[in-house]
Amino acid sequence: MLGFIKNLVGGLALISFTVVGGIANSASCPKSGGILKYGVKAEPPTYDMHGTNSYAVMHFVAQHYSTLLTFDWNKFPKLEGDVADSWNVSSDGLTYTFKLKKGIKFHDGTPLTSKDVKATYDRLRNPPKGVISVRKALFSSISGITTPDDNTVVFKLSSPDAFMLDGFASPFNAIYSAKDIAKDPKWHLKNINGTGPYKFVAHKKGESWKAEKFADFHHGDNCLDGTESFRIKKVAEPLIGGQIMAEWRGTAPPERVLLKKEMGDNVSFQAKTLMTLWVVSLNSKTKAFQNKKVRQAINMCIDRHAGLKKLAKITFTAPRPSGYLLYDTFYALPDEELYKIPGFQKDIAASRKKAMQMLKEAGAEGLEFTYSNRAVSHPYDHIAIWLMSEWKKCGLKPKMITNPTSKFVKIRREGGFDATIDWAPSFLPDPTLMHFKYISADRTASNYSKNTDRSLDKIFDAQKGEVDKNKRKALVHDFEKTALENAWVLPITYTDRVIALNSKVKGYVIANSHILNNTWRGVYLD
Amino acid sequence: MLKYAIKRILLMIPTLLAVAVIVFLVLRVVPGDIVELKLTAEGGEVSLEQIEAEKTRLGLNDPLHVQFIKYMSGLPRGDLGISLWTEEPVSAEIAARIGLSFELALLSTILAVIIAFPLGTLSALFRGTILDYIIRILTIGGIAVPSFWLGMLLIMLVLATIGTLPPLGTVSLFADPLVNLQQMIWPAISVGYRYSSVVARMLRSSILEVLSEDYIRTARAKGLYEKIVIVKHGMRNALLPTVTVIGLEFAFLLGGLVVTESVFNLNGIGKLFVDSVVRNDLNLLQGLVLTVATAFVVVNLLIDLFYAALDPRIRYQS
Repeated sequence: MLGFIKNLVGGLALISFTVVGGIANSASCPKSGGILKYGVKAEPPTYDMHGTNSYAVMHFVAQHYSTLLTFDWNKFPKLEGDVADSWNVSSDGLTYTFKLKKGIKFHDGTPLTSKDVKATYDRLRNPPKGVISVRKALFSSISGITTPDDNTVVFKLSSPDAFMLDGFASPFNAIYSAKDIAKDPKWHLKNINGTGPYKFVAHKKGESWKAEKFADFHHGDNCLDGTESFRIKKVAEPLIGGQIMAEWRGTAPPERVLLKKEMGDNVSFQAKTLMTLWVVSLNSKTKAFQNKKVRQAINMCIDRHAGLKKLAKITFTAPRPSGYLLYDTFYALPDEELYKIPGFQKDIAASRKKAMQMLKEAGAEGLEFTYSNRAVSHPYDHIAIWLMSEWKKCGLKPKMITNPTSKFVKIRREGGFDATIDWAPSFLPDPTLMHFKYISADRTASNYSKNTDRSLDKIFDAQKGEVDKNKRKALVHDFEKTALENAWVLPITYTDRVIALNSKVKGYVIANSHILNNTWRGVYLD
Repeated sequence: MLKYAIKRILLMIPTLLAVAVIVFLVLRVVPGDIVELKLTAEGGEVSLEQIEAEKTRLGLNDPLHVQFIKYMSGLPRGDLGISLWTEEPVSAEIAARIGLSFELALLSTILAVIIAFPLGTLSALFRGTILDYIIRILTIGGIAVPSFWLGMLLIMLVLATIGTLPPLGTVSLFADPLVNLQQMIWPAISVGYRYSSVVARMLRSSILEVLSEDYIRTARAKGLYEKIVIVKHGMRNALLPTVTVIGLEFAFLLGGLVVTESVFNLNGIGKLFVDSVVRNDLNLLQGLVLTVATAFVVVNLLIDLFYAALDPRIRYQS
C-alpha cells in the first residue's frame, strides 16, 4: 500500500522532476521460443487502438504496438518508459518533455522519431474526419505538441492536469507511424505497423490471429517465437484439451473448479481486482427518481455486505462494497467513511426499515420500475437477479427487461429505462478517469442517468487541476460523498479477475484490468 | 428435360428477389445500433456527435430508399455491401467461412446416408421385429437429442478418452487431411446422427408405403425375385421423399449449425450468423440470409431435377 501511494505521488507531483532510464534494457527471457496459444472471447471491431475500448482489440492488437510510457507490472501503477527514455514535467505542470529511446524501429523497418509521437497524439486529441478517437476528451488539456529534435517531444497543456502523465501510459494510446497516418488517417483501421514485441502476420476473421517475434524490439524481452490467438466461446474445454494455454479476461468460479479438477498442477491461476465497476444508473427522466429520497431508498435496500460475498461465489464479482473508486486505492473513501453513507451501512435491517419509511414519505411505496439488463450471463444475470430480490424485500416492484447488447446499448443511450445496469471500466484508479462518468450529462456522454449536478462538476474540475495530492484527495472524497448521497448512479461491485494459465506459461503478471499488460513482454514457455 | 431445367432456374430469380426485399425491410425494424455497440459497449467516452458521424460514414443515416437502391443495385453484381463490423465486403466474409460449413454439411450428409439407408431399409423390411424396435429407438433418440448437446457430450468423451482436443483454427482438407478430419469428425457425428435419424425414419415410412402399393403386389405376383422387387420397384419410388429430406437438411446445414459451430469453435456460416445478429450487422445479416436462401433454392432445384430423372411423369407433365 505504501509503495502504491509513493508511486502515485511520484507520478502526479507537479514539482519539476526527471525520470531517467525507464526503459533500460530489461530483457529477461529465462527461456526463449515456442508459440503462445491463447483464447479471446470476442472479435476485434477494428485494428485501430485509438478508436476503441474493446478488450478484444487489446488482446489481439496490443502486442504489435508500444506506448510512450507504460507501467511496471510488478509495482503497478509505477510508470516506466516504453518508447520514452526519460521525461520531465515543469514546475507549473504545463509542460511535459519526453526524450525518446534511440534506435527504435517500426515493424516495416523505419525508425521511430518524435514526429511519430506527435502525429499519434494529434490524431488522438484531434482526430481527422472519419477517424474516431474515444479518448479525445482525456487529452483536451493538451494545447500543443512540438518536436525540437528527432528524439524530443514536448506537450504543452492549457491547464494542469493531474491525470496527464498516467494518460501517456494508457495501453490504447499506441504509437503510430507519422508516415502511415499521413498516407491515410484511416489506415490503422485495417492495417498494423507498430514497434511492439510481436509483428502482425495474419488475421483470419472470426477465427485466429497470428504474430511473430519482432527481432528489433527495443526492450528485447519478447521471449516467444510468436503468438497464435483464437476466438473461443468457452475457456475451460479449450484449456483442458490443450487447444489454448491462456485466456486473459478471466474465469468464473465454476470454471475454476472444473479447471482445477481436470488439470490439477497443469493449470495456474492469477487473481486481482479488476478496475471495472458495475453500477446501476437511475434515469433522471423517471418522475419517481427525481425525488432524492426514492433514489436513496432504492440504494438502501441492497445488502452489499452479505450479498456481494455470496455473489462472488458464483460469478466474478468482488466480495466487498465499494464507492466509485476501487477500495484500498489512494483516493478511495476509507471503509469507515463509506459505510456511513446511505446504502452502504452494515445494519441492513435498519437500512431497509428506513428505506421503506422514506419510500412511504415520498409516496413511492411499492414503486414499479423497469431494470434494463444486458443478455450476458456473467455477471449481468447474476447481479440482476440479486438486485431484483433485494429490491423486492423493500416492497418495490422492479421489472427486469433483458436485451441483447446491441439493443441494450441503444436503450441505455436513449434513456428507455428507469434503472439500468451499466459499467465503468478503467485501467487506473485515477479520479479524473473514474469520476468522469458521474459529472453532468451535458459534459459527458457516458452519464446515462442524464442528470445535471453543477456542484459535482465544480469539485471534479477542482480535483482534475489540483497538483497537491492531499488536497486532491480531500476533493475526491468530497466528490464521492456528494455523488453517493445523491444516488443517481449506484455503485454495485467491482470485479474479481482470475485468469487461468497452462502451467507452461511463465513470466506473466496479472494487472488490475484486462486491458493492461497485453503485449506479452516477458512471457515465456517453460 | 432441358426446358424443364431452364424454367426452374428462371423461377429462382423472382424467389431470390422477394427474399432480398423482405429481408431488407424486416431487418430495418429490428432494434439495435451497431455503431453504439462498437464504440460504447465496453465503456468509454464517445459523444453522440461521434456516433452520428460514424453512422453517416457507414451510410446508416441515409434515407431508407437510398439504402434500398444501393443494396438492390449491388445484387446483380454480387455486391452485398460491406460488413458494418469489419468493414470488409460481405461476400468476402461469407466466402471465408462457407467452405467449412459446406464441408461439414457434406461430411454430415455422407455419414447420415451411410447410416440411414441400411437402418431405414432394415427397419422397414423387418417391421415389428426386435431389429425394427432397436432401430426405431436409435432413430427417435437421434431426433430427440439436440446436435449441440450431443456435441458437448462428444467433447467430454474426447477429453476423457484421448485427453486433447483437435487444434483450433480451420485447417484445409487439402492442406492437411488428417488434422482436418480430426477437427470435422466430431461435429459431423453430432450433426450426422440427428440427420441420419431423420432420413432413416423417412426412408422407413416411404418403403413401407411403397411396399403396400398395388404395383409391388403385381411385381411379386409376376414371380420377381424379392431383391428386385425391393431394390428396383420399391427403393426407387421410396427414394423420392427421402431425397427431398436429404436435400433440405443439407441446405439447412449450410447456415443452420448455429450452436454446433459455436460448441466446436468452428468458424462457419452458423457462427457468423450468431455474430451478425449479436452485433446488429444488418448488411452481413442480409447477405447471410440471401446466401442461405440461395442454397435452399439451388438445392430445391437439384432435388426437382433429380425427381425428374427418377420419375419420368414429372418431366412429361412439365
